[in-house]
Amino acid sequence: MKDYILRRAGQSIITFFLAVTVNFFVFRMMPGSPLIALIDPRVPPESRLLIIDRFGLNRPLWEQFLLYFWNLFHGEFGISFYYSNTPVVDVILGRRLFNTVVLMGLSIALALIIGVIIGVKAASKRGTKTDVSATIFSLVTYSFPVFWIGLLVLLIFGYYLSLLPIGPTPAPGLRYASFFEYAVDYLRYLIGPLITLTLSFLGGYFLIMRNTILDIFTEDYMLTARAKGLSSRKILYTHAMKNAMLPMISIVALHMTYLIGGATMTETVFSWYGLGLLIFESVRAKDYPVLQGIFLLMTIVVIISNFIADLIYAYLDPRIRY
Amino acid sequence: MIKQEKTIPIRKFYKNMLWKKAKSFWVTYKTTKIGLTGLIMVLSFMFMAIFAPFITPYNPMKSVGEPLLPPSPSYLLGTDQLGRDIFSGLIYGTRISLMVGALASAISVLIGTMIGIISGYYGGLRDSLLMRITDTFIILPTLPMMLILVSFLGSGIHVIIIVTAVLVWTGTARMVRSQALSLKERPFVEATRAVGAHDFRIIFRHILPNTFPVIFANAILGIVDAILAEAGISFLGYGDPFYLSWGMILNYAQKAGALVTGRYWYMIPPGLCIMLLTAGFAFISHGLDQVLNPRLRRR
Amino acid sequence: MTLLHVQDLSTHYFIREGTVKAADDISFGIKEREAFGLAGESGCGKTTVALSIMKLLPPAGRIIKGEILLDEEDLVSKKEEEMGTVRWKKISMVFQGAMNALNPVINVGEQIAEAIITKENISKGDAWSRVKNLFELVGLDPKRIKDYPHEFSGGMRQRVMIAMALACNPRLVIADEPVTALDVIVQGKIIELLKELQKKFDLSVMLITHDLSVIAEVCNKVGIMYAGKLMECADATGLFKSPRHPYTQRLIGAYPSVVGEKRRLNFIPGVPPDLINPPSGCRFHPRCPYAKKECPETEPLYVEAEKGRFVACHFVDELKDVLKQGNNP
Repeated sequence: MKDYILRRAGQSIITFFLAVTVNFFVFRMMPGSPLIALIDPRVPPESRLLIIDRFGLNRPLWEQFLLYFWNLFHGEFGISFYYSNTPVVDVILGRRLFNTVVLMGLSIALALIIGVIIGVKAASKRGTKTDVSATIFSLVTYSFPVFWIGLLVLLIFGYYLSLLPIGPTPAPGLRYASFFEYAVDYLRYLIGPLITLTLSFLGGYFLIMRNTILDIFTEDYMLTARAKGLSSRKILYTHAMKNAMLPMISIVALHMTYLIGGATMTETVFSWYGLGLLIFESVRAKDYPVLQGIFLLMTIVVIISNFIADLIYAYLDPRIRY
Repeated sequence: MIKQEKTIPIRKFYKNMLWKKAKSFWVTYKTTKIGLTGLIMVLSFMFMAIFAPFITPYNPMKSVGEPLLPPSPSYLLGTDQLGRDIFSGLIYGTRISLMVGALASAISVLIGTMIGIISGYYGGLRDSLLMRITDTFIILPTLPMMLILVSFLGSGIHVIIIVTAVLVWTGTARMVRSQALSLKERPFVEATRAVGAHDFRIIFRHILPNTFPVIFANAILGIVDAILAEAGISFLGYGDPFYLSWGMILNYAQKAGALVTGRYWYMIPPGLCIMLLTAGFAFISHGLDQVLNPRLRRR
Repeated sequence: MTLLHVQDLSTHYFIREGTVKAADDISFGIKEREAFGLAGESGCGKTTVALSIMKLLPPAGRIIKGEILLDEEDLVSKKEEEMGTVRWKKISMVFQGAMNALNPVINVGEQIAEAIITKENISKGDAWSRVKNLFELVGLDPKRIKDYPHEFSGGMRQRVMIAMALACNPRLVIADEPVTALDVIVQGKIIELLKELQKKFDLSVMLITHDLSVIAEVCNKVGIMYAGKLMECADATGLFKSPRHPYTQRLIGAYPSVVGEKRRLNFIPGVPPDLINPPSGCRFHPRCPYAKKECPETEPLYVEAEKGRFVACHFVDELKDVLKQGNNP
């Protein structure tokens, strides 16, 4: 077991360095990258000198690379181009991070729970109306263009039914009469994107769960369980599910990328004040330090969650430990 | 009592076998209702794409009427803010989606298969290195990455296709790799090697053909992802301005404030088309899965 | 004295390509404390018969005809819920290739204990101590009851399966190819274990295998199946000494003998038939060296050729001497 953990940790670290390297090069090597800082008129002159000095933009590339790593480990991510003089860290963390994590976390969790439950039900009732309709529904939602669903939700519930607000989420700094009022208003803005995102994830989780369980049904040990006369409930939930959760964990770990940056389209459509929207705005404004910062954050989150997933996997699957 | 079978030349034997396999595949596939529905849906769109000039009343890129008209007999879905017929745009948009979907998927499958086979068959250092690279690409979030690359490299349609392909090959790579790994251990590969065949021959004649089902299934799903990715990029405003893809139409719709003015005829049809086309491919993929993956089939 | 009586059992599988007539008109009986062997080539329907008795057929399979009488109770007409009192308590099963028959993510003791707890009203503690006893019975270290299946070798996993099968003190144990996947030495040990346990617990055993040598070691009575039909059924000694069906004789002849002079193996030419479209009349006729005009026309009746011996062949009397052991055509 120890070997396994060490091996996975080592791989994670390698992947991390590779990802950071890619992160660095994408933003430096692309045509018209940070050198823009030298010519971008938006950046005030004092900051310009500061940036050039801090990030060594006038030094050879390999020196820049090492400097980049050095800065990284000191929590120095640079200064945003767009939000003048605000350190990237401040722009990213805080309200925006919170909003995105809440939105994505809830959506993935909801989609997972619903998808798994219905997936298991459908697999156990294969071929029946329940199964076929659930499968068709999932295949269709899997093919949804997310942003269009968002638009539809806004159109139906916002425009026609006036249930949801169409404008942007209230920016930070707005005062509310009480926390309760704040919470209610927050939820009002949350529901639209929440429904949209949950729907988009739901199909995938359902299909994977259903297929995994159907595959498990063909295994010999399922026949043994039936032969022993165990209740179908026990067979399904103890014997089948335990094996089915394994691939699900890998997939959810992969989806952790979305936790940070995956809601770009939805956040844009609903003007939800989060990191996805920030990505969109930063690309438009060519605010590379911010983008680099977000990417770094995403990388760290994914690598850590993959590592945790592997640990959980090893805990659940005794075969891996040896 | 046992009949002597005539010996047939090898080439013809393989052709017969292939033909028989294809026929039996089709027979089974026909019975999957979902798969068949998907095929019909996709074929309808292909029909639309091929015969676009004959179906559309107007040139989709030319201004032919008053801007922002509601649907009428002369403009089935009304006009956009530049006075262009939305319906014609919709039909021609099929071509873009299909083209981008097919090409991007094909390229990504190519990349993925190459990497998967080298990784799985040779193993060792090559495998570790390729897998770390694959992991890195998996971590990259598709849409933001696409946005960034497209904003750097320009919005040409060829850029979009290549960028999409470069970001989605990882799924294929992983599956092909695991297939290659398991095939490598099979006795028939050992036997072929014992006879003295080179790696190249083993890969191309024996391993690769057995991975076709996996590759094909991934290709279909890749088309889904590619079409959705292109639509997303175009909607956000980074699509190719010279073509009118469905995502672009929605982008224009958003710019024209179709949402806040309730112009549903502008907003709904393009998205509906995207959904139906991708759903068609998803259905096909499901049908394929049922055929290729026998899970206690019943009547 | 008769524990299990199967009469005219027919089970078919309904799949897209057609209807597979996996087992037709199967009739045999197993007495108490008797070891019955069901032999035949791969795909001849033996496992189908076993699954039919336990009512464990996959969704595509259905028993379309026949009776299965366990202590005078018909199992065919029992509903799924009612089978709960039968499965594992009266009849249990040891599956082929315990490689996959055990759930890889649950420890073996748990898998045995859950059967005991479900079927009988005893406490967890008692159930687990019974698990320990069972382990000792089958020759496994009782300290390993919490280990996982992949930590055991093939032979040991089979022992676990046997322990599991005996957990609720059944009357009949069906063993489907219990030793096929094991090497010869381990095979011998498991066979010895089966014989020992059968004596100890007064069990009836139904041993399914394609390996006649295993049947010769363990069984009192033997049934030979081919292409879904029961061709011959007799006491073991009689069947091996003087087979009354051409297929039986060829089957025995296909086994090399360690003693005696070396001779060419007599294999049976041809391949087992497609059971969606089985041969007309006697299903063995395309491969039978003695086939005549009647064979493809009508199905032979399954008759009692002599006391306790059933044979399905048109020429059962004429071939009596020809088929005696030693006469290889």
